[in-house]
Amino acid sequence: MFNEREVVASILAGDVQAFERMVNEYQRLVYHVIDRLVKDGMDREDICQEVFIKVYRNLRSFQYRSKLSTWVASIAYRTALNYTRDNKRVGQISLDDYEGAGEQDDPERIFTNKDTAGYLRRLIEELPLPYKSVLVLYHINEFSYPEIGQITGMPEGTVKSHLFRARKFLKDKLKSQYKDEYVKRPG
Amino acid sequence: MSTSKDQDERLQQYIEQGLEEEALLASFEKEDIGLYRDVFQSLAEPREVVLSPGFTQRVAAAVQAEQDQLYSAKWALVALMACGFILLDIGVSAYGFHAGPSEHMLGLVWHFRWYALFALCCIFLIQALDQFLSRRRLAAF
Repeated sequence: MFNEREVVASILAGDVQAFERMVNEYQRLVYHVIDRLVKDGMDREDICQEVFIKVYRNLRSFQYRSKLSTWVASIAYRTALNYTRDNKRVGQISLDDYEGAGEQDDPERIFTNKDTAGYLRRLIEELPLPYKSVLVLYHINEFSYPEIGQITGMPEGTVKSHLFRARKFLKDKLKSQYKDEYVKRPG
Repeated sequence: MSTSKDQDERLQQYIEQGLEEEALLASFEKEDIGLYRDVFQSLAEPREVVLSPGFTQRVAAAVQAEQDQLYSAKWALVALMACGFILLDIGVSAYGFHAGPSEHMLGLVWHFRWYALFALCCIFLIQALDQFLSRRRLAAF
């Protein structure tokens, strides 16, 4: 059983094994945040390591105002932002203006888009960062709206609206990509 | 025909909560239901964690190295301050009691000041080089 207060106290007392326990506990969470938010071609393992080193250095400042996992995720999120070169630009993009994976004219892509799951994965990867962050934190890491607010610094209402609009965007893109196929399927 | 915002919101809620009774979903287009099901399924898809087996140990080793470095830096600072105080004390005492010989001693030290400075720089350089090589070795681990 992972008791965060005990583990934090042990780490602060210099117990490296306790730190290893913490890494084991949260490596999945950190990896998922980094994996989805950081662009391809970057060494995810090195970035994950950087996150845990930051966690270690800043652990003394953790005040238990949130769950430890939320705090670790916020460090992972901010580290991922540092590695996303264009985070300032995408931060201003609205989904209304964003076309996303507009690849309908590319024959090769049309062929690969037969795979709905693969197409959706690519769409998620190409979403503007704020929307992608909310989707990842909610669906992959299973954080609640207030927790996502704490991690990203967005107001709760914005989190909810981003989540709704991101899902709707994915649905609409899927609809335009596959057109009649869903009508033929049994409900 | 595209659904209104409210309808989309309700449909997202129903599918997310697994409320899929026919009566509940009757007011929505079948196409939208199917599309949202795929979207939610894709979002819930478990992702593989691709970290090397020694990841935890690597992170712990990096943290341990940082801790050791901080620890030795603290002691080095304490030692340096102690040396400074001792030298100051010796200098003040020697000058107070035996002005002649201590002036000669200080003159000697002053004469070799560049050698002393060079030795000090070498010590710092070796330290820095050692840390750089240690970090590289750790990164390769």
